Formats: sequence, C-alpha cells, structure tokens
Amino acid sequence: MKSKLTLLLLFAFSICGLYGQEYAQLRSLEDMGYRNESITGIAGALTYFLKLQPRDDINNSKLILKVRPSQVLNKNISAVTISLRDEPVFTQRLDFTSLDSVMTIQIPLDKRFVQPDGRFIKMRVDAKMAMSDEYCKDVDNPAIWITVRNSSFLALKNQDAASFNYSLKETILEYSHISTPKNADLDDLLSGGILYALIKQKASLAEIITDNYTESDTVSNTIITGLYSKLPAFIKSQLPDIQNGQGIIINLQPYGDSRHVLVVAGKDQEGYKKAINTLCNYKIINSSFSTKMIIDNGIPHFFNKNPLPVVFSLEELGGTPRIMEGIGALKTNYAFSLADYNAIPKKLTFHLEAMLSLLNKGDRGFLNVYLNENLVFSTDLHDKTSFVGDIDLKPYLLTKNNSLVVEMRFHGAGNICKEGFANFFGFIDTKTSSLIFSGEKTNEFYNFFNYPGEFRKSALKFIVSPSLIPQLASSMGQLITQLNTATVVSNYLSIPEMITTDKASMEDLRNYNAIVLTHRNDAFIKNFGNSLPVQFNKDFQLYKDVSGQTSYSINDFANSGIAQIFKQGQTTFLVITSLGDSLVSDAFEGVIKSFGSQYSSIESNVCVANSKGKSNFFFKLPDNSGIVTYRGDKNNWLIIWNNYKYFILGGLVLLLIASFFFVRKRVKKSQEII
Amino acid sequence: MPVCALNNMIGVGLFTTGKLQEIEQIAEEYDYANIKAALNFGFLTRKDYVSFLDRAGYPLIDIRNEVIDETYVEQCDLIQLNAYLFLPIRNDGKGTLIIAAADPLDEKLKSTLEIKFNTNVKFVAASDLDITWMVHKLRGEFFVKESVFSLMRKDPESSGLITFTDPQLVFIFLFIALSLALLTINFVNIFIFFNLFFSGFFLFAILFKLYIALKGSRYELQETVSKEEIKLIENKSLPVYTILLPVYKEDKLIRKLIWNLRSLDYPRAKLDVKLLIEEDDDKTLNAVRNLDFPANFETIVVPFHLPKTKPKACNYGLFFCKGKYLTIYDAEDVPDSDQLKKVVCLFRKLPKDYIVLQGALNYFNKNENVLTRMFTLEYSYWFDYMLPGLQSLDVPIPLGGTSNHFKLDKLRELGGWDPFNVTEDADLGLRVFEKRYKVGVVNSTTLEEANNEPFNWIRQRSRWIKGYMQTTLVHMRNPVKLVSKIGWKGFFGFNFFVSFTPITFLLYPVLLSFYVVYLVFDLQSVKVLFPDWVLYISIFNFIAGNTLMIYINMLAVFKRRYYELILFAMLNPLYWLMHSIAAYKGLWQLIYNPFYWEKTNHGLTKVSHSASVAATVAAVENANKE
Repeated sequence: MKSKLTLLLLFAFSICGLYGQEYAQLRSLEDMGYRNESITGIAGALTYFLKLQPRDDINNSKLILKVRPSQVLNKNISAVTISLRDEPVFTQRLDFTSLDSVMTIQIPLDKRFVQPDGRFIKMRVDAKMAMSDEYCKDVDNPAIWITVRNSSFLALKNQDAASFNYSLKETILEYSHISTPKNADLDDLLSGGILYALIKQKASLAEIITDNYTESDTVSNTIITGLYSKLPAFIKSQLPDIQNGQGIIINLQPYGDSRHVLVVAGKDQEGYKKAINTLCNYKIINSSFSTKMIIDNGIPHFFNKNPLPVVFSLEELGGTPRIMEGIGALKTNYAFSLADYNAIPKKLTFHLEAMLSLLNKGDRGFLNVYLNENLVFSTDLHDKTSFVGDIDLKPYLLTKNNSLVVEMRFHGAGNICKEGFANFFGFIDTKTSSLIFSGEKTNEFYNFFNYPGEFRKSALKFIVSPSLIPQLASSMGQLITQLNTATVVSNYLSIPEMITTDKASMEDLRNYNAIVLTHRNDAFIKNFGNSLPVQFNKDFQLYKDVSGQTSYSINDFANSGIAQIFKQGQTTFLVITSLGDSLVSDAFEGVIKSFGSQYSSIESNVCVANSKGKSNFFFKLPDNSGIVTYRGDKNNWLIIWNNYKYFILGGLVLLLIASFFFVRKRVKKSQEII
Repeated sequence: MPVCALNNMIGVGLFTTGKLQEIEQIAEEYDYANIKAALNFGFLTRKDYVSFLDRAGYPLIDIRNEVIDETYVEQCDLIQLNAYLFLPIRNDGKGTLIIAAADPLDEKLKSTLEIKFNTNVKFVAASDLDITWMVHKLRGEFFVKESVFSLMRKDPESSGLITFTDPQLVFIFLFIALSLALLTINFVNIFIFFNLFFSGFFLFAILFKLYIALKGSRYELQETVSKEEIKLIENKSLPVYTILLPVYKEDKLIRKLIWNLRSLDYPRAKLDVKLLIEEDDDKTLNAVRNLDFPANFETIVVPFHLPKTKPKACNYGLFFCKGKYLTIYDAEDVPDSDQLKKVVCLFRKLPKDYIVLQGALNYFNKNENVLTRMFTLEYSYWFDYMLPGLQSLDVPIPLGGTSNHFKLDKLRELGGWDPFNVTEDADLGLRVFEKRYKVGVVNSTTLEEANNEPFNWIRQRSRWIKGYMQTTLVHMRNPVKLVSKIGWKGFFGFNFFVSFTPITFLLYPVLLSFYVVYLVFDLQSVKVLFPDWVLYISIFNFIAGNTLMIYINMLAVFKRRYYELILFAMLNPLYWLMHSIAAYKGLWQLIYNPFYWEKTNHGLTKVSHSASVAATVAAVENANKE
C-alpha cells in the first residue's frame, strides 16, 4: 500500500516536473469543449480539431493523450493508431496494465501537422480491438471499447511574440487581466465587459482578473480601458496624439521589456465609444494585424430584434464531415443548445442526408436517431445507399442543451467472418443535414429557461446602480458572453444599451427587455413592486412551513448574489443583485455563472448563489406562492403573540373562569322566578 | 224558559226566539251563561248589550274599582265564574250579597247563587270583560301557577327553567378553554382544523338540507286532504274546535281577527275561540269592548305571573278549552277557510299516534320589501319542502309558531307547552316525538304578516334562535337518554335542525369575515392560515355552500309560483348575516334574560291583506289545479 502511494506521488511529481516547469501552458481537450469520447465495437475512429493559439510553439510542444481501454481486450491483437493531419504518427497496443488503466501517449508535435489555416491540428484516433481470436465473436460485444479522456492535453511552449503576426483579437486573447478606472462609468463598464467576453473566447480555464486603476498607478500585462483623461499618466505619455472624436486601441510595451499593456481609449467620450464599438466587430479585430489602431468610426451592434435562426446545418452545430467505419453501432453525436430561443420550439424537424455502403444479401443495417438518449427514429437501410428524410423530434424531449445522436448499426450476414470482412461505412452530410425550428411555445411562467434567448429577441438595456459600476466588469463580461452564445456564429459581438438606475424609468423601458444590475437598496427596485418573486430589499426566508418554523433560510449569506427573472408589463426583467455588501463583484459573477450554466430544464425563476457560483440554489417561486416570507413581515402583534402567548392564554382562562361564574350566577338568578 | 236579559232583548227587537234557542243550545253545550254564549259566538254586540242594560235600569258599575270581599270570591270556582260571568263583590251589611253579573236579569243564576251563598243576592250589572278580568285576577292564581310550573313538576327534565345545568356550563367552558389552549400551542394547524371542520360541516348541512328539500318536493303536489273529502264532511259530525289566540297589545288587529275567524268554514257553534289577553293589556281588552259588531271569541285574561310568555298564556287557556282539537293562531293570521275541516278530516284518516298536524305558513305581504320577500322564500322553503321531507324521514319536526293543530287530550297529557321556552313550539315538537307520537303535515296554508322592518325582524328572530338554544340545552342535558328515547336518527335530526341552527348562525360571520379578509385584502399573515389546499376546500365550500343555499331558496318558489322572488334568493348570504346578528342577540339574552319574550310588533304592514289574500289564494288554488 505504502509503495503504491510512493509510486503515485513520484508519478505526480514527474508529471508536474515535466509539464509544469518546461511548458508555458497546458490546454486540455475539455478546455476546447470536448467530452470524454468512446469507440465501441471491434473498430472505430474519433476525430478532433485541436485549437491553437498564435503564440503556441508547435515544434516544441507535445500532445499527451489519455486513453482508457477496456480491461478485457486482447492486447496482442488490439491497437490504437493516432493520425495527425491524416498522417499516422503513432500506433500502440492497447495495454490496460498501466496505473489506473489509463494509457498515456506522448506525441511530439511538428508544424507540418497544423492545418493550412494555422489554427488547428486535426487528430484522428483509430482503434482496432478484439477480445478473442474469433473475429465474429467480438462483433457487438459491449466489453470492447476505448475512451479518449478529455483530460488529454496539449503541452505547449510559447514562441517569441515577435515571431508571430497577431491579429488584434489574438492580441486581446493574450491577456487575462483587465483594468477599468476606479471612477468607472458605463462606457468603462461596457468596455471591460466586452474585453472580458473576448478573452473568455480563449476557452482557457485560467481566471480572468478585473481590477481598477487610478491615474497614479503603474500597470503591466493588462488591458487598460478608459477615457484618455482617466488613464494613468505614464500610459498617456506613450500614446500617440489623437483628436477629439477619435478612439485608439494600442498594444504598448511601456517599460521597454516583454511586459505589455493593451490600451483601449478615446480622446473624448465619442472617441471612446468608437473604440468600444470596434472591439465588437470581429471582422475588424480579426483582420487587423497592427499593434496600433486609431478609430474614426465605430458602429455599435445592439441587441435588437435578432431574428431567430430557423435552420441550422449540422455543420453549424459543430459537426464535421466524417466517415464512420466498422460494424456494429457507428454513432455521431451533435450537441445543440436552445440558448437562441426563449422557449421550447413548437416543432423541430431533423433533416438528415446520409450515404452508406450497400449491404449484401443477409446483412442488416439500421439508421437510428436519438434525441437526449431517447430513440426517436429508426429505419431499415437494406437496399439503400443513401438516406434522405425529415424526422420529427418531439418538443417535449428537448432541454436547454441537447444531444442528437445519429447511429448506423450494421450487422454482417452469418458467414461474413469466414469470407473475410470489409467494414461497412456511413457518412452523414453535415452541410445538407439540418435542424429546422418552427415557432415557439408561449411562455406562461418566465424562468431561466428563457435566458438568454428572451433577451436577444428584442432591444436590450442594462440598468446599473452607479455605485456598483467599477466592480461589475467581470459580471458584465459574463453576461455579454452568455448573451452572445449562439449556434450560428455572428460577425459581431452584440451589446446592450446602458443606463444607470438613477436615470432609468419604467417608461423608457417600453419595447425593451432589461437586465438590471443593482444594489439591493437601490430605489429603482421599487418600480417592480410585487412583480419581484423575492423582495430582496428586505431580509427574507424561503420555504417557511405553516407551523411558523423556518425550514430553510438563505438570508444570512452576506456575499450571495441573487438573480430573478420575471415579466412586468411588456418587459422581461432579469434583476441581479448581491444580498450583502461585501465581495459584491464575486456575488454578481457567481450568480451570473450559475444561471448562465443551468443545464436542467427545471423552471426556476430565482437563483441564489455564493462562493463565486460554486454553491447555488434555484427556486421556482410563482406569484403568491407563499413560499417567501420576509423578516419584516412579522408585525408587532405577532411578536407580542409569540412572546406572551401563554400569558395571554392564562389571561383568557381567567376571563373564562370569571365568565363561567358570571353565567352561572345569571342562570341561578333567572330561576328565582320560582 | 228561564228569564234572562236575552228574553227581554227579544221584546225590544234585538233578538229572535230562534236565535235565543241557538244561544241556549250553545250555552248548554259549553256550560256557559246565555249572555256569554250570545256575546262570544257572534250573536250580540257589546254596545247593544250595554245600552240595553242601561235602558233596563242596570247601568254598568266599574267593578275593577270596587272594594271586593274576597271571602266570597274564594268560595267560587274560576271555571264557574268565567263561564257564568259573575263576581261576588261584598255583603251590603244588610244581609244581601252584592254580586256583579254580566246578565243581572239571569234569574236562574241568581237563585243558584242564593242557594250557594245561603243569603239574599243582589245583582249589579258589570261588563262581561271586566268580570272576566276580575275573576281571573282574583281566582286565577292557581291556574296560572299550574300553567307555569305544571310541566316542571310533572317532567322536570323537559322544563326550560334551568337554562344551563352545571355540567353543561362546565362542558361548554372546558371546550372553549381547550380550544384556546390548542390554538395557543399550534395556532395555525388548529385554526385550519376548525376552519375545515366548520366549513365542511356547513357544506354537509346545506347538502343535507338540499336532500330533504328534494325529498320534500316529491310531496309538492300531494294533497293529504282533497276538497272532495271536505265536501263530504257533515257539519253535525264536526267536533268542537278550540282556537287559541294569544295576543299582547294587538288592539289594532282585533277587527281583522274577527273577519279572519268569520271566514273560517266551520260551524260557528263549534268554534271555541279563546282570545288570551294578559292582565295588563287594557289596550286589547278595550278594543274588544269597543267593537261595534258581535265578537266570535271568548276573552280569557291571563293573570300576571312571570315568565310573561306566549306558552304560559296558552297553558292557562288550556284550562278553559272545550274542544276536541286545538290550534293556535296569531292575531294577524289568515288561515285557509277550510283548514279546520281539513285537519279534522286528516286526523280521522291518520293513525292514532298522529297527535299534531302542522299547517304551512306563508305571508300575505310578501312583495312589500326585500325583507318580506326573503322571509317568504324562507318560509316557503321550510314549510313546503323541508317539513314534508322531514316527515318522510321520521325525525322530530320543530313545529311552527302557529297553525299547529293538536288533539287536546294528548296535548294535556304532554303537559302543554314549556312556559320558559321562547320557542315552545319547537320544544313541543321534540316532546311529541319523545313520547313516540307523531307530527303530520296538512296541506293548508295560514297567511301571516311578514316582518317588514329590520329591527323588528331581528327582535323576532333573536327570540327564535334563543328558543332553539334553550331547546337544545334542555334536551341535551342527557344525550344518552335522548338517544334512547328518540333513536339515533331522531337525535341526529334534532341536533341538525335545532342545535346546529344557532351554532351555524354564530359561526357564519366569523368564517365569512375570514374569507373576505383573505380574498379582498390578500393579507400575508392570513395567508398562512389558508394554505392552498385549505383555500381550495374553503372556496369550494364557500361557493358551493352559498350557491346551494341560493338554489334551495330558489326551489322554494316553485310550489307557490312565486317566480318574482327567485332572484331575491341571491341575497340569501346577506339574509344569513341578519340571522347572525339575531343569533348573537339571542345568545346574550339567553344568559342575561333567558325567558324574556321579545315581542314582535304586528300590524306594521301597509299592505291590505285582503287583496293580497285574494291574490294568494287564487294563485295557490290555480297551482293546486295545475
């Protein structure tokens, strides 16, 4: 036992030593959005597109694959082959005897493996597996599988910055630190939020830090955003001359060494807005390779009645053209989110176009379609070399995030093994196969399922408490990220119109939806009256049972954030606030992360989260549910009653006794008639 | 032929010999003086009588202000004094006993009294009413005490003298204390329990009433006695029928009363009508005195004794009744003209254990205002649907205040009415049932004057509800014994229709106010008392209960074709609120003044009942034909 532990520690240290020190960064498949993927059956393949960053020094980097094979495979006749850019680079027998039965495969990378666009490496994992010597016995044996873990990673070295031509967006992605002015205004907040959202696209798990600067600060390795007049003096001194009405985005090396500062600024408010708007235009920031950009024009792209996408091709859903080969079940999983929609669609049709190898006499083939693991369609593929058809998907099977699996299941005729077997193959055309959405179901009860779709479908305003502005850049970034997460990639980052709570009125919100980031005591909240599921300007308790005992209370969490979604008039509101006054930024960010990543379809309209969203609670609190009670609601009479009820009972009993004797006396007196 | 004033009246043209014979026959049958028969059976007006005596040299003396030597009076029996209308005043000091007599010319009486007192007798004339007043005042003590205490002596368990027994008081107060203690310990749950219990009870009560009403509706068109059967009755075969008319300060109604009695289709000589007047009620007495047409009733003066209640007066009247059957009417009542014959006919048809028949009551001034309309709806529902329904279930029937017809001997056997009970009728209904006799329902209506004034209505209703409380307390002193007497079905029926009635009215505003506070103000603190499931049940009960009650009241209009009242049934929830006010008043009086008789003022209506009666009778007849 002791020796095993020592071995484990040594292994851990060696891994850390190998990758932690030598390589600048590790980027896992999980960071790139992949799940653990499996190959089942006697043969199969998985394809990955590994995303690269401009500064990645591919020649000196490695691919570390973690493959876990079934422990019953015959290792002499089971092997995995890794191909990079369709070139086999590594083959190994599947050996499950390693520690925790995970095989670690190291493949040194080379530039020749990078796709022509320079942004991806195409990796294919082929497996041929067997358990017994008899090929036919292994067909359809569920014990035959391998899994490629998403903890597999690229161990990357950084190349010298000068050796790579950065676009402006890539430059931004190099940073993980954003500084907004101490006395930030709405523009600073928006700018900070946009930058945060852009950096978040890096899909790195590294935390993005936001902070505030003053004029006297010296900063480095950060993106600094602000009006020219607010910038630190030493930054101002290094900026080129710009005119009123002009904005600037510039990557500086203010100290003459490797430390950088990216400045997003404007000579005046107008210029600053132009710079901010430019950040939202992917076309510009992807195609600008200069370290300096002076901006004369910048048009904002507000959320405004974005038409709902009706047809998604599987390619748009992230599918890649892929030949599935083998026998048994050949599956491809397409994940799609309903984030674009504010409700479940009324009708969803899956148009599938696929080609397949012709089945011989006696062979059997089926095409199955699964929605969220429910079989929704099955057909016989006999005598077919292609399949074209529309499949109705039941809306009630949908959740916010869904998986659509297309499976081709091939079974050879009885004697196929003896005659020598050639794999079946199938191909799903991801360009012509599509999902077609028709209409939306009417919302009766507004809840987080409606987010973010509801806020994209009409003009959107962010209403912010002035006192919170400097602290909310990260929250703003999270919201902008979530609101811009759409199935079909846009050329623009859409942004909301911004207003402070002291200047906002309900009248101005006509024809808008609104996200309100507010202090719990902000007077603006009064506008909501009883529409708010939880009146959080008072201490409150949830699920107070009828006997007056509190079974669950959340009013003590000082740094919790709370988000509530509801409809008032024609406007849908998402109101976010912190329940306490400390760690406000964390409270906001935590709750935004929580409701933004809610994968379940539970209809919740209130979310309370703390510890930066690690602990969160969702509640369904319909109007007048009586679940919420407020500490202040206990009136004086109730307090008196609770404190003195037994005294009151005693008094009443005394009164009763007196009444008893009084009535008795009266009764006796009435009999005196005799 | 013995000489009396009436013989002389023939001479002056006031009488015919034929009429005198008729009078003498009556006098003989009833054992009355001729003059009493003449004055009380509609042969002679008191004005004619007085002026005749005056002319004959017998001016009336004011006997009420004479000095009376009671030693002579004490030698006389009240029944005789009342029947022969004389009163010994005093000895004139010369050996002659001066006696006041209604007929100072009655030689037979004079000679009888001379033998009785063994002295010379000198008659002076006095008003028959004054003599009646005096003889009852001086010699009525025994009878009035009997009226008050007879039941208590014979059947103390059925007497309402003791309002609350000590165990009852202890039980009630312990129940309240226990409820308070439970509410203190767990207010919400206990409140919800009570709330559900009572609202469930309400719904059950209303459903049960609907069931009985629907059961009663089967008898809607059934005639227990048909007109053909009445036609076949020979007048000669009819027995003497006593009608008790307990009145108090009803001077305005005396004329109406006479006309109503005259319209009764029953041989005049066989109607033993007793107008029961309290000793202090000179108003009514004078109204009778001043009538300018012959009266068709006998006046009985009830001597003062507490409690001053209608049942006490009736009990007193019982001593002087001559009939085989007896009924009670209020002064303003307009019974169907053939009601008495119907009753006689029905009694003959029914088994012997039927000793009471209840006639339907309704109102002639139903369209006067909202209150009279509601009252009419209530009575129509009660008498036309509930009573027949109850009769078919064989449970105790709370009798109505008037138009209940008794077999007199059985009534006496039961001990008459409880003088301490202000709803003596409901109480008697139960006692009839306890003795295993039965109450029937007769298809005849008596029209009354509906209370048209809210305060008067509340006074009347508070008495009724107080009476129900009294009746409950009396008969529930020993519930086990009650069950053994009347069985579970009777026990349930009694509690349902008598005991729970006041409880329902007491609780109604409490529950209603909770609902209203909750529904209108949406108070959060009240909300905890109405969790969703309780709320749904409560709202269902509230809506279903009120709707059914309205429906039952709507049902009530059908028999009598009072379709114009149907929408007023919607006001039933408000009408119930008035009941609740009356219930609280009644509860207070039960403790403070249990035997106080809240007098209902009659004659407030501005509706001429004759026109209304004609219309109503026509409507009923049409309805019956259909």
